[in-house]
Amino acid sequence: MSLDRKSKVLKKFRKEIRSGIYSYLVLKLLETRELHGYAIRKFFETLTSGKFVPSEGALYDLLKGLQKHGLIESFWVTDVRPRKCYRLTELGKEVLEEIKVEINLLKEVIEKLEEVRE
Amino acid sequence: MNELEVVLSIVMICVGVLTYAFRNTPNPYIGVRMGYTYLSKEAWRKANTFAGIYCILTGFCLLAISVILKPSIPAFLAVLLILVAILAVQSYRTAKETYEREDLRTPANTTRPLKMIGVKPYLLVQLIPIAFYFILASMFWDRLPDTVAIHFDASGRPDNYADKITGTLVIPLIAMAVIPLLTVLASREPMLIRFPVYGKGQKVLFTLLAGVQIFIVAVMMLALLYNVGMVFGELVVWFTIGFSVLLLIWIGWMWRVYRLEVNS
Repeated sequence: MSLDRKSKVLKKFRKEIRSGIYSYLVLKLLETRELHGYAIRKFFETLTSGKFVPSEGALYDLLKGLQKHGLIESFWVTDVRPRKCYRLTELGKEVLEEIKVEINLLKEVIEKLEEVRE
Repeated sequence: MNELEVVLSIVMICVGVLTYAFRNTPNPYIGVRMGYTYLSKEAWRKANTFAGIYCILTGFCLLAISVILKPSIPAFLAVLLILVAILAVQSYRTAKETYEREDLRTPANTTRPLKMIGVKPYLLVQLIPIAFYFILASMFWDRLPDTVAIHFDASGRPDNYADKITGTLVIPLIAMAVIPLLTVLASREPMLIRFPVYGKGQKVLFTLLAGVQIFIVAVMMLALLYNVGMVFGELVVWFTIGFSVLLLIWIGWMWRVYRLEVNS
């Protein structure tokens, strides 16, 4: 029972924490390059050795959400069949700059917390 | 109970059964056919499974409505139109989502942008005749009768009428706005069309749409001139038949050129 509760809470927290981090990482990935969805997933796999990779459904919803907010835009590219490629918009670049500051601040806070604990 | 309502409901059920039956068999005749379903078996299956079940269920609902509630034909047609619009939008969304999800797990090799052509010149060719129609309508406004002819039978005699504003401004505006809207839609969403149209295919489609638009505006202008007594009804009919034949030949020729270029 307690184990079940723990896994439920963990699932909820993971979802909350990861959704924000995934959004930031996608924006960061698209900062310097244009990528299609598959390449974005591959980057996650390579960078995290497969430990921190959004599911297909999560990435689809994430890309859709970022597009809806005007942070990224899609365009068609040629391959065996046409497929969507993504890039950062001007608004996306501006938002990313602001978020970077907050992420750095967050990193500092976490480090300080670790130091206090030690 | 109205026969037309029952027939339309049964047609809806039949369409649903056929669509569902062909949900695993992509083909050019039956089912939800657009760029997404044409290029992805998975998108075809999901879109057609949804469309098949939806059509069967709504067909039975419409049948029940027509037998139990006995609505008037316009009310029934309005409900049918709304249901078909929902079917079109949801089938499109299902196909699009399936296609894009499939893309997330399919390795890709290139990021070369798809060659798209500018839609503006084609839109201009479509919009200038509309402006010309309204200039003509304003020039002849005082000469137009209070009731104007809006439809003609095969012999060129008018068989449907409307008041001056509806017949000269509202109906022509709706009729002449459809093609430009389709053009904008096709330029923004190339996978909406059965054969995904980009590059040469897009050029063929936009040229075709411009031709159809010129035809529609010309018919509207002839009807306007008929209403001020400047042309005979027969001219409207003969023009419609003649231009339709020319348009069909033109479409066939353009399609042939497109297929030859694609296969070369």
